[in-house]
Amino acid sequence: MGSLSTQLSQSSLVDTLDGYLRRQAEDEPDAPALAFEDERLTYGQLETSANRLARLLRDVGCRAGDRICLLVPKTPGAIVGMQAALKAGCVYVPIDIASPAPRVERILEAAEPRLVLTSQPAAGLVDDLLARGTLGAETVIGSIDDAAVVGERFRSGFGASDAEAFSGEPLPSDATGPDDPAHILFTSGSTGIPKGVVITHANAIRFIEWAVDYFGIQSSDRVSGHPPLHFDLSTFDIYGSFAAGAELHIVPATLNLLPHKLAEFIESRGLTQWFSVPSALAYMAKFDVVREGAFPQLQRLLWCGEVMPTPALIYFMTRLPHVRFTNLYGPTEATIASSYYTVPAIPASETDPIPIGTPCAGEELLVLDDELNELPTGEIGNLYIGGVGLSPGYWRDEEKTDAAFVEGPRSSPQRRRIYRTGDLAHLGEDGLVYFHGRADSQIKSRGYRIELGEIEVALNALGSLREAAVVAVEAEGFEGMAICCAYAPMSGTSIEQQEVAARLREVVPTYMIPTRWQVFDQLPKNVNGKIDRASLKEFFAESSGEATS
Amino acid sequence: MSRRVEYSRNTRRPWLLWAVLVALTLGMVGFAISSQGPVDSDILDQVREILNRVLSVPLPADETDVIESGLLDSLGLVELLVAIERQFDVQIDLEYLDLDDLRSVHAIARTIERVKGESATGESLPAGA
Repeated sequence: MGSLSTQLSQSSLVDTLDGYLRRQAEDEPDAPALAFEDERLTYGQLETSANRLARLLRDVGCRAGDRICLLVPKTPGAIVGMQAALKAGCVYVPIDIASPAPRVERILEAAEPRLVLTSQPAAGLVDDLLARGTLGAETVIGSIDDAAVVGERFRSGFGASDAEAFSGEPLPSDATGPDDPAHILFTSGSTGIPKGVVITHANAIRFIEWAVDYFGIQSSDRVSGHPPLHFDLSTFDIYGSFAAGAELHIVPATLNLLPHKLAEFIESRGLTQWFSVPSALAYMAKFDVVREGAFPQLQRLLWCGEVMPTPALIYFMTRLPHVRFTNLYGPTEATIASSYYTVPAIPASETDPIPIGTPCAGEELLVLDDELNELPTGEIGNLYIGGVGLSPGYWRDEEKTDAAFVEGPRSSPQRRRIYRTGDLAHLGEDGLVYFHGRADSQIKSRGYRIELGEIEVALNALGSLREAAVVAVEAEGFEGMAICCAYAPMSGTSIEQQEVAARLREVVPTYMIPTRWQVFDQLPKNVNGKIDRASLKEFFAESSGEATS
Repeated sequence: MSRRVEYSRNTRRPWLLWAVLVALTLGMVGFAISSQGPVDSDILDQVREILNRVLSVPLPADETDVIESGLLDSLGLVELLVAIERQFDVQIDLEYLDLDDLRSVHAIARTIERVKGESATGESLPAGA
């Protein structure tokens, strides 16, 4: 651990993530840092606001290592809140405010925050949480808005403007080091309980350093901030931009529904880098929003988080010959991305697979069999990741951590810590790694990582179904996978599928709600008496040509 | 007692009362013109039925802001457009829509009326509509 810290301080000159903002504010305080709708912030302004808020956070009792949960939409205020949390030596936990209260409650119970930072659009959610008794009296509620946030059951203890009473000078450096946690990102859990992936400063810095160098990000760049704050992709947007002194253009979430507006945004802002999940790109391709010669200032188009449909890639590459296209691959547990592949030419065929490519600096990709032996070229096996991106593990869950982070490979004398991704892959003759889907029941839909088990647990907990199973099939549209539910109501009762969906929405986010439903008297079983999910998948795949729901 | 005094003050300036009444009437007429009258209830019913089909959950109320509430996402929008085009025999060009055109049952019904009106006069539609 000590040697990692030394390596870090020699190469990157920052040892914690908040160092990037501080460095830029010292060097170029007037350079533009953030843009959101009509708001513009320079590095100097951002640094000063963050320093002030950090002092306020300390003043209300935040100490090094405390968790600060962010129940905020994506705005400059949210970014200030994140930087302030880091400056105070705390660990921030971004939470999706579109998630229903019961799910947020589980995250809060696990994270045990000292403080929750919120904003007026999330007031209703905070009210729900207070009604459920989730937030205790010791949890301070603060606002990233200038004014206090007011709900039916609460009024935040402070607003951002209260921070103006404090000094905007950099805080004296504290004991927080590169191997300390910077943030925790909660992802879908198959048992219904979200898992918190701990990301250290070093984890993120190593990726940022590689990415800024590989992509050549400079202060003249204007980069997109599209993925939400609870996706680790946003870590790259924010700190990659800060590290290079570039300008981060936060994409308002409202644009996501109208793909023409997304295209307009890229064009009018003169973005030089676009980074999003493939679903957003496939959506734009579907509505044919990119004219030839569009986005003249765009230099790079990057994606991560899902398989990019080759037809959508061909669509973009054909219209944007001046742009460099790069596939990034990697689970949150290995920080943002662990491998990359820049597509050298327009794929010849719509069925050509795009490799996940080559490991990023300091990382490695291993294709192993079930005994953790390395497989020869060409054989499909389990994909493991090793190296500097590996999270120390899941927050306060030694059991899940030990199950996923193991020692390997067995075939090598130097055993080291590797992460079992649950993805299948093979190493090609060309030395590139190719992705082959999941070994389990985790799927990506519209860029979201979803454990189908989480949805099943929620369905069974409703109490109105005798049986329920959730499977996923390839969808024809741009969203990746379609979530399908087979269910049997309690004996002697019947229940409308729409009612099940409505009740499910109270406990899981909208993107987890099945889009296809089928009621059964009895779900099909295999010879062991267990639900035959394979035949359910076939059933739903076959009915895909018909009208849904 | 003071109320009687106020009343008598008003009647000393009857023109004020009339001015207010006229202003109110003009305001209401202006509002009615700008909102082009009530939306066809048949279209409203059909839109409500379509939304209940394409949203992942049933529509809570006619006034529900389906965008703000996150109920209408990109997937639902695609299905909504297909259903509208099929059921109302119109072509909806997403490029000319704003979020406000899709926010609620009422807003969507308005949008359909507008597009139908434009198609009747032969304006603003791509060829082959």
